[in-house]
Amino acid sequence: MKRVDVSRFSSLVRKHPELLIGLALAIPVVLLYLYALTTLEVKSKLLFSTASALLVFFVGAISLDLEVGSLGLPNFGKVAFFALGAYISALLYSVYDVSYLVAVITALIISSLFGYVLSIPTVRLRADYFAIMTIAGGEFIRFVFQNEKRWLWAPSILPPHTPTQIISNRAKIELTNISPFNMRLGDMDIYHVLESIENLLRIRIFTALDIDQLFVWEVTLLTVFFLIALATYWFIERIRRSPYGRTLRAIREDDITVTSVGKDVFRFRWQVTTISAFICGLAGVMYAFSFNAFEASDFRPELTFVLYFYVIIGGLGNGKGVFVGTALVTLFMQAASVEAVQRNIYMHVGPDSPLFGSFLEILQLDIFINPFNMRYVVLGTILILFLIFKPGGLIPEPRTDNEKYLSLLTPYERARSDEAVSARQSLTEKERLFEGTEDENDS
Amino acid sequence: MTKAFLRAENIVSGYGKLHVINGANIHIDEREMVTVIGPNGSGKSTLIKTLIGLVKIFDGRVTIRDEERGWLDVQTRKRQMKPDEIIREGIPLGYVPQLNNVFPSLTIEENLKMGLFVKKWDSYYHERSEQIFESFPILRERINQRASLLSGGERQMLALARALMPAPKLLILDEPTAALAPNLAEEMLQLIVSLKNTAGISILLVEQRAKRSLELSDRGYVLVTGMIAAKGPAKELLSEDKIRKLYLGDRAKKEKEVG
Amino acid sequence: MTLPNLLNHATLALVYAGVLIMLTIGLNMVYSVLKFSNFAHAEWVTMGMFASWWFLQILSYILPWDTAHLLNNLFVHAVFGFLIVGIFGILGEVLVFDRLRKLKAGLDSAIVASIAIGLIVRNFLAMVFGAYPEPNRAICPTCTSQPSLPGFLPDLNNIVTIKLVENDPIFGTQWIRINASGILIIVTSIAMVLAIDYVFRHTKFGIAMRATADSIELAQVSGVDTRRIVHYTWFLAAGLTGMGAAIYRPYLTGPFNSLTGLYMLLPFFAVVILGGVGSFRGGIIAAIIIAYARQATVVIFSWFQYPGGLEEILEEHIGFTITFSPGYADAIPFVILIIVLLIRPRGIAGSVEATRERV
Repeated sequence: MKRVDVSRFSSLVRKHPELLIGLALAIPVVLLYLYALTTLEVKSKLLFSTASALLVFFVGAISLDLEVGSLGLPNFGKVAFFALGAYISALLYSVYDVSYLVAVITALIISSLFGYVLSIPTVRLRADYFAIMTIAGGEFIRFVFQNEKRWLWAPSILPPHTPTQIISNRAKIELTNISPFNMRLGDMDIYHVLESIENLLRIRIFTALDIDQLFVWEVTLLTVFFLIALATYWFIERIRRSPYGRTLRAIREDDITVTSVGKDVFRFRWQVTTISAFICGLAGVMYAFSFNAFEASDFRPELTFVLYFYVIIGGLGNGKGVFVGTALVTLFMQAASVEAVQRNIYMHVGPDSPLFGSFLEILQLDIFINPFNMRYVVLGTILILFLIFKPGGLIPEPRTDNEKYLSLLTPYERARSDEAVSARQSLTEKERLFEGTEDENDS
Repeated sequence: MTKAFLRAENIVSGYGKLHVINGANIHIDEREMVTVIGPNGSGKSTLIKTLIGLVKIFDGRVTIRDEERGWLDVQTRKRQMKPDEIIREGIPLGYVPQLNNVFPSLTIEENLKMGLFVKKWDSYYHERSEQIFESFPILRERINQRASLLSGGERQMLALARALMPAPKLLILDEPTAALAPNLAEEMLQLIVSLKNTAGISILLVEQRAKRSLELSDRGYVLVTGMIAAKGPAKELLSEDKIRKLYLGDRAKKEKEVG
Repeated sequence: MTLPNLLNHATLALVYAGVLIMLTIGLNMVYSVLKFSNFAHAEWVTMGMFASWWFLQILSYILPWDTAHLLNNLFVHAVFGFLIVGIFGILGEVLVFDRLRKLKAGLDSAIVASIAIGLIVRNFLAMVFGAYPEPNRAICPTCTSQPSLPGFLPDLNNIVTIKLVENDPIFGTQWIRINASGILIIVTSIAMVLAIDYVFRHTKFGIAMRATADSIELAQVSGVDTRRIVHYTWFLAAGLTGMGAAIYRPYLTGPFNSLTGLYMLLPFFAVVILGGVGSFRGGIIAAIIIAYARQATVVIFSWFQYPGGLEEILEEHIGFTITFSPGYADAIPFVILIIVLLIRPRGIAGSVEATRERV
């Protein structure tokens, strides 16, 4: 039995070398996460925050992937849409007393409107200028939320109710206080069903993870988030498989050719930017539920960069890859931010350390290796390694099934097309190899 | 088989594992103009890149004045020679690539200096540039303009002038008349012929205007799929029926034969 | 209604322009030779600050007798900053960008890679030298964190004040107030631009660098060792940035941390794009425009907020107004970027088009 398993695994690895890299990344991450779980008193708190972050960022990342992966637009201003979605929905509901549904719809409209407006001056730009402009756009939104105290600040909860930058998310606070949402799962009847499943299977998994400590609102929220994430995934995969998605990929590969067959490339660019802004605004609305209160400085460009980790490690241009990337990175980030982990996995190398103490004293160095900063160093390194050695990510974009379309051609057209493809391939091969020989010559 | 300036024997070369040139023999004597013609994709550009050392040789050898340098490289060649040696004797090979053959954001003067990229170039630059400007008076007038402001023909002139700066013995030109108007192309070819006649430079030319360049050349080679299909004095090649049909004849005939 | 202290604002803007000029030379060099925007530039600035500060600590520890600051002075720290950051510049090229170029990876992977490098460096610096909000961590409590100039030169904090008008009913108080550090920034920035401009235009190295920027292949055929040129470009660009950061640091009033450089990244890009990629003189004009536009926003917007200002007038007559907060000054680079890219994508004197190649 065992031998069969091993051979099956090795043949699987041979077929998909990504599996090995994936496992090499996943095993330490899962171990770290399990360690983080054991340090906690109520384990379900971490489970909830991980699951909600995973779903929220998955929606954000998949909207980014539509732009970067399918269209090749490196948008670095995604944080602006997170901010717009979170801020406007929370602000309208808690300060202007609009009903929550209207608040969310307004937030989504404003978010996609900003996506459209930002795309007007930017879709014509080269990739790096596009990146700079979108970063600047994201920062601009933050400046507006920081400075517009007359309209975008909220009165503080405590008297004298002077306006502050801090917006409290009334929707979440209310949700956590209404019955039955404010009850724990353990107090509900449904928990007995889980318990009986546990008894049946003789694994005490729900008890071990303190599922009974979860609030009903947490479970409800996760369910809603899950449905939203599923719908978004379905929608974007649908776009990708449609003729529209094929045009997007064609633009990514070679926009001049697409223009030459009569498609307006810029129209596709602004449409995708707007769709993606809408979805990202939705992620922002969801993101607001991670906080009881938030302020403008929670929406710094780092948030966008984190989305890039998900997309590039997971695999550009396909939803499954983005999900795998999001799951891996979120588990890692969440585990590393647990307080006990921060306290325990900690190294201090300074003048008082026994090994190189005197050396470090001359060098005046006092190094604190802490998980908070270390996780970014690790993630950044992994990202660069992926860019260099595995640009496709863990789950590369599936190749289009050319045969399906080629069978539509007449034999003569087919021959011509084969000729063109082989000429193109030999050309690119030549170019690449030519670079290689030149470099050998250089060194 | 005596005293050829440059001789390539049975060279096999290409990119990585891809063989483009499969055993070509070619030689150029001193003060000789040789044209290589051939259909698209036959490896003309690769052949001359092999000769100047931009493409790796798998087999065969390239000699200059019977002196072997398996790996001829313009760069290292230049670096090995002392500046005054270059001025006195000139470098063996000069090369004008087909596309992107000038530095657009550099001025004409700087472009010419780049041709003479050696130590202490300033002292030699004036000496050489005076000689160059005699053949290319138009460049002297626009010495401080950026090369991007030049017209297509002027760019080709500049590229040629830059290749001539280090006084090469053999000038290798990759389709110098591509993208030029017919009258400019004719002018260009005449200029190249006059270089051979007055300065005594050997010329190796790869051309699409096969008929006209063969008329001006001494000898010619026909390259097909990386192999020399025909060679001989230019006059003979011009009169050979098969070559006429394939490369010099009218297009309608050719299309009919192929497909 | 009295005028605000316009002269003082003008002086502040001038020093800020100097800072922008000094710190964007390297960005512009990398941009023009390698044709991509290096987002890790912000971390070179931070690293230059930390490197010079670190060297100050070391020198004060091992050379306590050097009270005249013959060795332990700002210039030595700046040279140290130049070397450290320059070496990191080459490392980035060798370890990452060179490989990406060989893979023929697109522009966006180079951008993502540079952002990732920035993230690594930023957090690395935070671990070694102390993170936000904790300022820099010194283990030698007696050591100062303020560098000095050599003994015979004035103290960096010496303030020159020229009062023109004081408490005038119309002009208010007008003075020029600048410290030695600010003067040093202005002088160094001008000297650096002139030197680099000379190198780029007139030396063999500069011509080879521009030739490499035009076409790597043709430069190789012409006998340029392009790989070495690219390495020198990174070293020089990163080094000059580190040096500039070292000279800028004493001017900062508050403590600095691992995020200081990142907050200046957008103004940097605005300067390079407005001035034009590859044009250092254009960069001077752009830096001055951006610095003055920024300071003018501060002055005008705080003036709008005064009693009787625009905000009150709008409120009275239209019944609607927005907040004219001086905090919007930080958004000025963004506004300028949009205007430049819409009107003149090449910048004032640049050679690189911002738009995609059109059919």
